[in-house]
Amino acid sequence: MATRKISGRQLMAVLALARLQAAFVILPVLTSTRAGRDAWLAAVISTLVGLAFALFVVRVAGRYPEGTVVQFARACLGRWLGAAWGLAYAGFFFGLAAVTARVVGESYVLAVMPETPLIVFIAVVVWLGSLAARGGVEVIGRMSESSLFLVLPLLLAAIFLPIARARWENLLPLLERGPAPVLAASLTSFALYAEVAAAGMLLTHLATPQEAAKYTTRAILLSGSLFVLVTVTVTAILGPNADDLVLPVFSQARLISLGRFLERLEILPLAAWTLMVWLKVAFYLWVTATGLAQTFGLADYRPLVYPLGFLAACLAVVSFENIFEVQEFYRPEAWGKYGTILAVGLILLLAGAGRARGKRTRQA
Amino acid sequence: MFWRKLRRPTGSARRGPSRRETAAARRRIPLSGNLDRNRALIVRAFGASADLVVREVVIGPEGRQALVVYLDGLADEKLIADDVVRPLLVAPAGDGHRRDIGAQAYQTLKRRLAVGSVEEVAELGDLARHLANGDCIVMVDGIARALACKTRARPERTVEEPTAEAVVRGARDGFTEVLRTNTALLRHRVRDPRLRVEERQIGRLTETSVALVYIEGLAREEVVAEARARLARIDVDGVLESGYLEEYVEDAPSSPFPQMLRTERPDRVAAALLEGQIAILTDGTPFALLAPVTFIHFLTSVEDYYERYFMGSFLRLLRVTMFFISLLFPSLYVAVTTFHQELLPTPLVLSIASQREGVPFPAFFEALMLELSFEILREAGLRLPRLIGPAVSIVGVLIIGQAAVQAGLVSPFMVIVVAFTAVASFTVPVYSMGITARLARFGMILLAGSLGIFGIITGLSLLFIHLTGLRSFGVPYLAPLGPVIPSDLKDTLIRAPRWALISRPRLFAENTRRQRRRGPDRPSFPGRRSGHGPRDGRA
Repeated sequence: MATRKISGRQLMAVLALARLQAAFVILPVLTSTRAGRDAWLAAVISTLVGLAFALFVVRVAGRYPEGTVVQFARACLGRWLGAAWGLAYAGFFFGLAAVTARVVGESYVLAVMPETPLIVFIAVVVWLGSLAARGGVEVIGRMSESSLFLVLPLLLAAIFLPIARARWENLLPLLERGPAPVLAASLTSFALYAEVAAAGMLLTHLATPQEAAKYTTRAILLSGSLFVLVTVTVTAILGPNADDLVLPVFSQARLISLGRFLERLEILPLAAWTLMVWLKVAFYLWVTATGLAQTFGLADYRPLVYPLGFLAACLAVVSFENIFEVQEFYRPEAWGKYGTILAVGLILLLAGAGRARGKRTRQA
Repeated sequence: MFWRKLRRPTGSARRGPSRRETAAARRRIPLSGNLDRNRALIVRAFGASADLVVREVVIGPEGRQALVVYLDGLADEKLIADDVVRPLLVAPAGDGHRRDIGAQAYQTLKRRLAVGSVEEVAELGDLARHLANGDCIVMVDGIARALACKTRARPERTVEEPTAEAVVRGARDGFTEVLRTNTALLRHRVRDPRLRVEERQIGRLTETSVALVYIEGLAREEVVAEARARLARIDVDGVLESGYLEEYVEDAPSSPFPQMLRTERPDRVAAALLEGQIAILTDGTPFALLAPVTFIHFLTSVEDYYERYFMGSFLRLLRVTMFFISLLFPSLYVAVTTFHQELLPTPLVLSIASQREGVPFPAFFEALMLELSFEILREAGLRLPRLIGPAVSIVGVLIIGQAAVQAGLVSPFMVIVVAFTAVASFTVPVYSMGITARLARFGMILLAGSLGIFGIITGLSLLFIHLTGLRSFGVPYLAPLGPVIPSDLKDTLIRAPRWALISRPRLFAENTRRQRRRGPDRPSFPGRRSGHGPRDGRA
């Protein structure tokens, strides 16, 4: 497995797409509900903090270049604690895969095909994700890389084409309710950046390990800047009360009209977004499966993918009643705390243990 | 990829070689010194074949018995009469008094025979192979060996213009069914001695010659070795077309996508060799196989490189677009008219709706039906004798174009969609990829009819996952688009000017420098003094 390599640009694409996928749909909503017209400030803050965390992950993973973070945990936390660490880590991304699948299902039912049962979308997305995950890290890397070139123009078009409708006064006044809501909103937003902890599984496959920090930084900056752009334009175009809208980017794309002939172009960002969603599901399923395989010492992660996918689909269906519960889940009090504590905590724990072990081996 | 796993053990991995060895052992019957026994051996081997000619001659003044054997029609009779039989009749059979000095006798004989090449054969199997290739066998009494003289005159089609890959500008010669002619056409284009032609016989009964052609130092060693190994693994009774080999040699036999490019154009093969690809030429078919190939190769035509690069790039883009249209257009129509009418401008929706009013079928069924009937027409038009062709097209046009619409079975819009798709699908220059697109189209219609746009996205995602995982001789199928290789993008969706194509594709070639000098080969632009434009010596 370790012989499978991805390039730096592929690493960047995988991380950036996983992050952008969230920016596309949920994020503007969650930040604006709290921060209102200052959503973009929350986006800036969370991106900067996210960047720091990403670099921290790269550093921690870099201490154990011969394996993934799960193997690192086993090496420095011992058999039982290491396995517990691996389970928590894999479980974290397993849950994320399920939530992601749920969100895409809800969006389709809401925006495109209201009469089709939710489970169809979830099942198809998870199936596609499992197929891709079984292809291995190279396939995920290559697909993400070429998708990035496909997705970026569409995303930029969705952001900039309706710019004529922007009313920039929507962005003012700054910090009308003080800094507290902005900080709270950046917490959830940061929790999504915390998903960059998944890079811990990828970095060992990087063909040029010395460039890990460079490309991770690029991934965060790329997705972060687009995320800030999205929040700015959504607030400017749709107004500070965009929280009534569940899918603001699509509402924004809906305003596009080319030559009075091509009207409903939101289908294009929707397609790009669907692509990103199953890529993200594939990535997280791969992280979960590899993490579990390494925790339990299996030679091959692939037999785990389909069962995990099946479970993820079930989890996606039973976890929430409707899209408002999904939104509720993403509030700072819930996901913001859970995601941050779990992801940051796990990596911190690993860093501490790694340092202790480093000292011990140095003394010995 | 899950279908990669389904891969068959190609050919002989388990039981093949042993069987082949027994066959060879059975055939290894030494010739005897007795002419009559040898004759009996040959006659028994070939049975009562009418085309076997056995002629007795008496050599030279000593009057020693000899046999001349050949297969009628395969060997050049005039050549045999003039250059084999006549020298034999006048020649002294060496110092042929003693029986045991046959080798020397043949040395003398060999020099006297006036044909291109003469080989000594000591064994019936080799002898039979030479006969089947059109060689003429000379056996002298008392010597347990035979001489095989090259007198091949196999029935051969002349080099003609390739019919399946027409071009406006470009070479007019195409491969024929004769391997030697085909390798000659390649040598004629690539004169460097590093052009390698490795030949082997495949097929226990047909013993078809298969040539692996590549340029030493350009093609990657691993690829050549892999191709050699895969060809060596094949164990079948016969190879009649390169398609037989293709299915044994390709990486993922269960993929609907072709992983080797079939072409009958020598210039295309030469161009591929120059990029570090390898070619597999099969005797008996004008179609050569190229590997490794990527998806984009199937959307290229040699003419992209012969026309000026603006046109080449435009045609390339057009073909890529048309490929996707031929894949998606009917399914998009089905999805939009069934699920997402809001995507279209209102007047268009109204016009479609009014035309569809009398149609009893859902758009999904209508599309499937029309697509299928188009396929039937196409197949019928291809197979039927030339003379009846017009009749079928008239019937097809009338029934599908007119009557079906007037009877209200299909809507005129659907006819337009299917017709346009059909035309678009013929812009795919490589036939095998066109077939794949046509097959995938049906899947797309099914998905679009059941899940709308989401179905189409699903279908495209499936193709994307499949193609990303696919490899042709180790080269990723979607390269240089996935993985993205920036230096190779210059010859992908567009075709950069010749003087800018300074490097060969990274993944194929061992040595990527195509042009040695960078500067002077570029054209000089007006007002600039560099470049190789006509220098004004008189000024």
